[in-house]
Amino acid sequence: MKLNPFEILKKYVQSGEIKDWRWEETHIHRQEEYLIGESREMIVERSRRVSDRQFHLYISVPIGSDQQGGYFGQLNELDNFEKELSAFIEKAQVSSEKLWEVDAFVENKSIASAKSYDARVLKDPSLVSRGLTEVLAGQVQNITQSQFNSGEVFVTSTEKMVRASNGYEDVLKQSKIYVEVCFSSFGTEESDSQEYVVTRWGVHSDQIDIPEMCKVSNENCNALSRAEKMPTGKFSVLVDSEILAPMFDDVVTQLNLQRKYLSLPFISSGELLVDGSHQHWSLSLDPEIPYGMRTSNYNQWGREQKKLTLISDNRVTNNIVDKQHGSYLDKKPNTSIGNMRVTAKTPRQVDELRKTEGIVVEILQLSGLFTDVNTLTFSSEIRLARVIDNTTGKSFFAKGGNFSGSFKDNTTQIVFSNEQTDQHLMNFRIDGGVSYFGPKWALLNGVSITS
Amino acid sequence: MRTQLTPSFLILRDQSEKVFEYLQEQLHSHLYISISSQRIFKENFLVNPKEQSYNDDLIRGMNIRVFDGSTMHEWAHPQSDLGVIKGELDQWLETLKSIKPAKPVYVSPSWTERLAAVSESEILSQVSEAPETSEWVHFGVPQKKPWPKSTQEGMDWLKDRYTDFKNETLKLEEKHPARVLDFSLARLDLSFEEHCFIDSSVRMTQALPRVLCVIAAVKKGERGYHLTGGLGGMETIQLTSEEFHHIFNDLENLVKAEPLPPGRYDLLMHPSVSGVFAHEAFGHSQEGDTWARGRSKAKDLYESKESVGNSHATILNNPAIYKNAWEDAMAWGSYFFDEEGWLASEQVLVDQGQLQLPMTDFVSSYRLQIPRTANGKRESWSHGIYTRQTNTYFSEGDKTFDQLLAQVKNGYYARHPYGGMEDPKGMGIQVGIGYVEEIVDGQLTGRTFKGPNGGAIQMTGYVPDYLNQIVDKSKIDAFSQGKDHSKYPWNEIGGCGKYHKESVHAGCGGPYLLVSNALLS
Repeated sequence: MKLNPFEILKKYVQSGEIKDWRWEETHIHRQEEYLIGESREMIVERSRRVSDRQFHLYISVPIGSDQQGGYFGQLNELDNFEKELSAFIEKAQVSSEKLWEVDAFVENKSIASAKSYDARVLKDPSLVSRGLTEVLAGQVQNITQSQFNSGEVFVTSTEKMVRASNGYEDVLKQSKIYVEVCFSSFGTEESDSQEYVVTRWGVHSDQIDIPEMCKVSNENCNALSRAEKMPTGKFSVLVDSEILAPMFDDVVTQLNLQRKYLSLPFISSGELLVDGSHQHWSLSLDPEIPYGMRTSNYNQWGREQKKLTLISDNRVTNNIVDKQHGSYLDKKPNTSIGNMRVTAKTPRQVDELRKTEGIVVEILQLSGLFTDVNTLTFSSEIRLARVIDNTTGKSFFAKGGNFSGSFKDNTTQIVFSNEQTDQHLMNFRIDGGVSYFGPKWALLNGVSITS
Repeated sequence: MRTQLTPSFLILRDQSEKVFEYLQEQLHSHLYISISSQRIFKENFLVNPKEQSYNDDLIRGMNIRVFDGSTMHEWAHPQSDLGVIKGELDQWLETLKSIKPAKPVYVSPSWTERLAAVSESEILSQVSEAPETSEWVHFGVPQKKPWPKSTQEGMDWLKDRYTDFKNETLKLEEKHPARVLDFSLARLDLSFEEHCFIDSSVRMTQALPRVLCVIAAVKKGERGYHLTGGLGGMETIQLTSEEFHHIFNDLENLVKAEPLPPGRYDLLMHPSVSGVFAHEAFGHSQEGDTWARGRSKAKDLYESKESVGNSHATILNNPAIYKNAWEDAMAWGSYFFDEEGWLASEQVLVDQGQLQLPMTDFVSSYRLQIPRTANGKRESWSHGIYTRQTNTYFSEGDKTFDQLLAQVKNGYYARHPYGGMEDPKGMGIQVGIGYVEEIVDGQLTGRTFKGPNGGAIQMTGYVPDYLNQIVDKSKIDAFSQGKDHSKYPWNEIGGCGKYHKESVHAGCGGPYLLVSNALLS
C-alpha cells in the first residue's frame, strides 16, 4: 500500500532520520488593477489576475550529538514524495546549527480566533478590487482642483495549510490590500505641475479610506506647487505613523534575542532604551490586534502568541525570545510574532504639538526613509513639509533638504498625539509586512534638517 | 559553453506554446496575444560563526497577456499544462471573447525587423539570419568555470572562502578593529533563470546564470562588505586578500569616523556611488511608465529641450553589457531580451545635458507612441511588468583617478553607496553614502566621516543642479595611463525598487566622477 506523505514523514521521524518537519500548502489569489488618468477619466491600463499554489516542506535532521541541519524547500514531485524527501534530507545535512527541541503543540481551545483577514477578500479578491476601483473612479470625477494621473489596486487572499511533526495543524488565512493614488496639480506660468502619491496597505478593506487618500493627494500636490525652500537647523519635527512604523520596527528588531546570539547590536531586558528620556510610553508586540499584518494565534510551530510588553517607561522589560534562541541562551520563549502597539501616557492633541515653542517642521512626505537597524539612525530627503514658525505665527509649505537623526537622540523629549491610527507597511525590506497601532503623530526633538 | 535550457523548462516552454495556440483559436485575431514563462531556481548558501545553512526556491509560472488596444489583460498561473488549467483559463477568457477590435491593435515586428535594431555581436551571433516565426531562438551565457555540482560542493566552496577571510583577519595588527569581529558572514547565491517569450512573430528563450557572493563583517554596529559576481560561471567571483582588506579598511574607517558637519562640498564619487547617482538622477524619471502616468518632469524637459546638465552629463541604460568592464562577467542588469521579448540594446537617456526619449515597456511605448526599448521587467512571474532600469551609468571621461583627485582642494571621496531615491516629478535626489574620506590639496588624508546622526551620509538636492555641477569624469580604466580597453564602464551589482514595492536586479556604475557643491548631511 502506498503511504501518503505524512505517513512517510512519520516513518522517517520514527527511524530518527528526520527530527522535525513542517508542511505548508499555500494558495494565493490576487487581483491587480493598474489605473491611469486620461481626460479627467480613470481607465484601466492593465488588469491582472494571479493564482499561485505552492507546497513547501521544512525538515531538520540530527547531526552528531549537538548539532542539527535544516532545509526548507519547495515540493515539486508529490507523486514520488519519498524520492524527493531523500533529496531534502541530503540538503538538510549540508546545513548546521546548534541542536534545539521543538515543543509539542498544545492547543488552547479557549483562544479566540485571530482576526487576520477580511472575509470578503478571502471569498473573492476580484469583487473587493472592483469595489475599491469604483470608489476611486468616483473620487476622480469629483476632484477638480487637480487631475488624477494614476493608481493601483491590489487585493490578495492567502490560505496556508500547516501541519507539523509536533502535532500542530492549522489553516492560516490572510488578506492584503494595497491601494495607491496619485493626483497632479495643474501647472501654471508661476509653478510647474507637481504630483503627490499616497499609498496604503491594509488587511481589511475598511482600513483603506480612498476618499481621504484622494483628498490628501489632491491637497498636497497643490501644496507642492507653492512649496518654498526648507530652512536649515535643528527643529522639533512632527512625524506621522508612516515614519514612526519603520523607526519602531528597527527598535523591535534590536530587542530580538537572536541578535544577541549572533553578536549583533542588541538591547537587553532591563536596559534604558534612550539615555536621559523622561517620557512615558510603552511598546508591545501584540498578535491579538484585529487586522494587523502580524495578527496570529500561533507562531510557525504552533506556539501560542500573546501580547508581550517590550518597553515600558523607556526601559526594556522583555526581549523577544523564540524557542531556538531561547534554548541556546537559557531564556524562556515568549512571543515572536505580533503587531507593534505604542501607548503614550501623556499624549496631546496634534494641534497642540504643532504649537510647540519655536519652529515646528511637520513632515508630510519623505522621498524615501532609510533607517539603519544597527545604529537606529534614519535619514531622507524631504519631499514636502509644513514649516510652522510659532514665534511669528507664519506657516508655509517647504520641500527639499535632508532630514536625519537617531532614535536615541531625537526621542528623548518625544511627545505623542492623542489621535490614534493603524499603519501597515510592506516592502522588499520588510519580510511579510509590519503593522503599527498607536499615536498617529509624534513630535521628535532636535532633529537636524539641512537644505 | 553557453547555458542551455533545463529539461523542466523545455516542458514549460512547449506547454506555453500550446496554450498560445489555444488562445489564438479562442480570441479575436486583432487582439495582441503574448505569453512569457519563467523558471528560476535559486540557491542560497550561508556561513557565519554560529551556523551554516542552505535553502533553495523554485519560482515557476506563466503569464498570458492580451492587449485590446486600451487595456492589457493578464492572467498569471503557476501551471502551464493546458489540460490542467483549461477550466480556469476558459473562465477568464469568457470576459475577453466579446472584444473584437476593428483592426489589429498591434503588429509585432518580425525577426528581421528586430535584429535590424541590434548591434551587439553577443546577440547577433546566436540568431540565424532570418528565423522563421515558429523557430525557437535561444540565447545563452558563456560559463568558463562551472557552478558547484552539488549542494555539498557549494557549501564547501563557501566555507573555504569564509575561512580565507577569517584567516586574513588574523594577519591584522592586534589593535585593528577587524582583528576581532562582532559578526561576519559569507553568502553565495546561485540563481538559474530561464525565460521564454511567444507572440505572433517570434519565439525566444534565454538562460541566465546569476552568481552573487557577499562577505560582510560587523564591528560596533558598523558594517563592511564586499559584493562580487555577475552573470556567468564561478569566474565572475573576485575574492582575494585585496578584497578582504577593502572590508577591513572600511570597518576601520567607519569605526573611527567623525560626524560630518552638514554643508556643501566637492565630492569625488567611486563608480559604485556615481552609478547610484545616475540611476536616481535620470534613471527613474526616464522610465516610460512614469512618463505615461504624468509623474515625471523629464517629459516636459524633453519636449521643451531645456538643458538639464553640462557636457559631462551623459547617462546611459544598457541591458546588453556582456562584458562588465575588465571583469569576466556580464553586468548584473544584463539580458538578451526583456519580459516582453524585446531585444537588448544600449540607450542614451541624457546626452551632454539634453534629455532623450525614455526607456519603455510595451504599454508605455504604446500609450506614448514612442519606440519600444528592452525595459519591460517584473520581480517574478507573479508580479506585473513596469518600465525598469537594467544597467545605468554615466559615460566615461578622459582623466585618471589621480588627475581627478588632484582637482580637489577641499572635499571628500565617497566609496560606498547606501541606497538612493528620486522624486521624478519634483526632481529631488537622494544618494546615500556609507562614509566619506577627506581630501585636502589633492590628497586623501585618511580622516573619515559619517553622517551627523552617526548613520549614513545623504547627498540631497535638485537633479539638474547636480548634473550641471559635474566637474570631470575618469576613464573606465581609471588607474592606467593608456587608452581604455573596456567597451563599457564597470557596473556594480544592485537592486531597484519601484513605487516602494517591486524589486528587480539592476546594475549601476560608470566612471569616477567629481561634482562640486554637493549638499552632504
